[in-house]
Amino acid sequence: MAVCIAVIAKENYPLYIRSVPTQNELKFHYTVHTSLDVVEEKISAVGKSIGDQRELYLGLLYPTEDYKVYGYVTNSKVKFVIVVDSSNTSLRDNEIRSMFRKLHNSFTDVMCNPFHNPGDQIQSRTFDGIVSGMMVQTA
Amino acid sequence: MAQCVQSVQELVQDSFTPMVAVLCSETAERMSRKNRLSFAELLRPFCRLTSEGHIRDPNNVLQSVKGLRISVNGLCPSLKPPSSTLTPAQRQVLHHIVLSSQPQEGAVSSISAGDYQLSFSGTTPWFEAYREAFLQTMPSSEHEFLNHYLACLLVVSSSETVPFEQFLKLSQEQHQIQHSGEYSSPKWFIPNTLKYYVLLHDVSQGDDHRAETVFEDMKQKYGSQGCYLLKINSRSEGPSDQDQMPDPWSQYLHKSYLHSPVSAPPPISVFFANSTKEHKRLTRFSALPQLSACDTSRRASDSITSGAPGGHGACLTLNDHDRIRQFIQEFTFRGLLPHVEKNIRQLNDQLVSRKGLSRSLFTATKKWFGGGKAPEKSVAEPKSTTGLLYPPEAPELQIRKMADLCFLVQHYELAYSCYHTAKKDFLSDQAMLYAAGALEMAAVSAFLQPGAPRPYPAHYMDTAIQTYKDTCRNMVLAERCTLLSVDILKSQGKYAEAATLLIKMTSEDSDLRSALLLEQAAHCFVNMKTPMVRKFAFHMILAGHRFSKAGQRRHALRCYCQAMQVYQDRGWSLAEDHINFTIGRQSFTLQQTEKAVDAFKVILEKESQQTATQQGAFLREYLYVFKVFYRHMALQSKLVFIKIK
Repeated sequence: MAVCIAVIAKENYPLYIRSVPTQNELKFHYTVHTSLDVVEEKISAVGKSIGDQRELYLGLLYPTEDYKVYGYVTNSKVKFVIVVDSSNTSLRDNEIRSMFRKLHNSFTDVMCNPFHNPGDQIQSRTFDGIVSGMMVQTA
Repeated sequence: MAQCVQSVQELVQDSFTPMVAVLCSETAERMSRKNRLSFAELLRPFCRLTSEGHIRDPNNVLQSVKGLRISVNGLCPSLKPPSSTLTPAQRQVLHHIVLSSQPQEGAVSSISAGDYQLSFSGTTPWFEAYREAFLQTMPSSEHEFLNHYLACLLVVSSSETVPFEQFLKLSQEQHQIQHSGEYSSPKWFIPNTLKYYVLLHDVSQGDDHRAETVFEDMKQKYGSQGCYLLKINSRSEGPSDQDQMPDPWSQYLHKSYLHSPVSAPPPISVFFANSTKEHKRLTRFSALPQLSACDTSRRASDSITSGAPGGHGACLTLNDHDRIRQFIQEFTFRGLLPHVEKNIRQLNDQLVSRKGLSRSLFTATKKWFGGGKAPEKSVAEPKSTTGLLYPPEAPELQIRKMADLCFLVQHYELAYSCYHTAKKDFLSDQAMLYAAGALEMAAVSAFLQPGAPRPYPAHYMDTAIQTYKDTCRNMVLAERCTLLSVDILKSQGKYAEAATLLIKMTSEDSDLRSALLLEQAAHCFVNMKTPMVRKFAFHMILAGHRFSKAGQRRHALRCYCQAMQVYQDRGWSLAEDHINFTIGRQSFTLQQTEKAVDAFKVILEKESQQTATQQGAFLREYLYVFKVFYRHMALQSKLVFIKIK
């Protein structure tokens, strides 16, 4: 269960950020923004990739004291960032990968919408629904 | 880490210098006071030796000592035990130092990384000032001997009727201070400290011939290597063209003026060298760079602004400067270095003999009694929180002393091997504070070794910092360790590790320290081969927040403005709003209302994604600031109007 999910465009501005509303949203914004540095470092380190599915998943970017940040980059250099609570140790790597795959699929659906211009903020309700399904439920 | 003026070697060598104490008789002190300087202050600008000294190590190999610097302080015995944290007075002084050191306008460099164009200044002089002051105020501790006094200068003026009596008195005084066991500071390196006898002669007022005869007698009594005739005050007191004379003292006095504590010190009574029969004899003391209470009482008794710039050394000619320089050189090469050499040799002999003996005894007892501790290793109970406490004569401490002596005379190879042995002993005894000290110094000597035969042991430093922080809870030592290792890593180009170390040291107890370290970490990120610009910005914001908590508003504003360059117009609206809001608030507190208005305006211009309450708060702040600004502008225009009229 994620605490914050963000979609970032190729030019490094946010297309979509959603976090658990009770928490300090500003902190998540800052965390995601800073994690972009690490993402860029990993991208440049990989070099020329063949477009393998495995290479799109960047793994744990860095752990802070409360949160773990995971990254995923698509072929069009759109980045997904998921922030997860550290206390939630039951989440394994595979689960994170499946979350990213779901995100990627729904993002592709959003892009397929002829009325959506790439580079705009994502306002699709279906996408919202999928993201809410992945976030921590506040009872 | 920002670029610093000092190189790493200079920094390390300046942090650990041989310490020399000064005890003056009353007349001698008065003689140097004619220049508005105490005797220790008089010597201070000349303490960096330009020529090379030589010293033989225990294997009789000649080592050269280049560019040695000694530090001379007046003797200021105090009864307070050294603490592991900074006193509030010291904190206040550090606060003032950082406050008074602001960036210069226009000293900016531009960095371009990816699609970011940043311009900010790459040097942080306030951090260097803080670091220097901090390293100088390190309290002397039990587990290391680097800032224990090696020697004592006993200064008597030649105008005394019976100089020898004065010398004897001073010598007894020093002996008493060292051995009476009442004073917890200053600490002395070896039981028989080197005593160097100085006859101070006032050329304009004294009798040259008489001084020479007294000096000849001294040479006979104390040996020609143990005394010196220093002639000063060639110019008589009075108004003269002072602007032609160089004044090297201002920079040192400026620092000690800043260092005098703001709060009232505990009452210390001042005794003169002539009075006797009191048990607690605290002699007069000259100004120290150490933050002790001595300073204010000295200043109070002077009642002249000795800290004021200018007017120092009024009675000294350039000839006198040369003489003082030569005196320091003579003292170091003829007195201090041979003393150190002799002690190194002694300790080495002791260790070799003891090691052989203890090892055989230890193995013998182990064989017979199966793992009992050998009687040679007499470790004293009680165990303190930092582990064991060693008695002063313990062999492990002897190794540490020898290592410290070698380090002070730049003999890094021998120092490293001694530290390594000491570390092993301490670790096996679980004496964590001592072990951490040995690890730290071993890493530093490995780094400073010329030719670098072994790679720099960064893990030593990491373990040392960890131990200081967690086991010993000594943040001051941990901070010093961090500062040194960060500089070393920076010189090797390992900015990422340096940044991690700096961030680890930030904690809740000291806002100023955390702020400075976070700022340095931010600079580290931006100085990497591929600059991590966003991390730089993030840490700048954290640093700005801590600065404002510590009360350093101008620094806070500067940090936020630098971070703003990264976030501007990038679409991260929440973050941008937050920064603009804080910039607006800070500028307003600093009376820069125009800047505040601009910052707030930016928040309101765009389509905001904030909540309604947040937007309401922004609007309210903007209106308030704008009202103040408008009133101010109206007043100004009215004044202009009146002027025109």
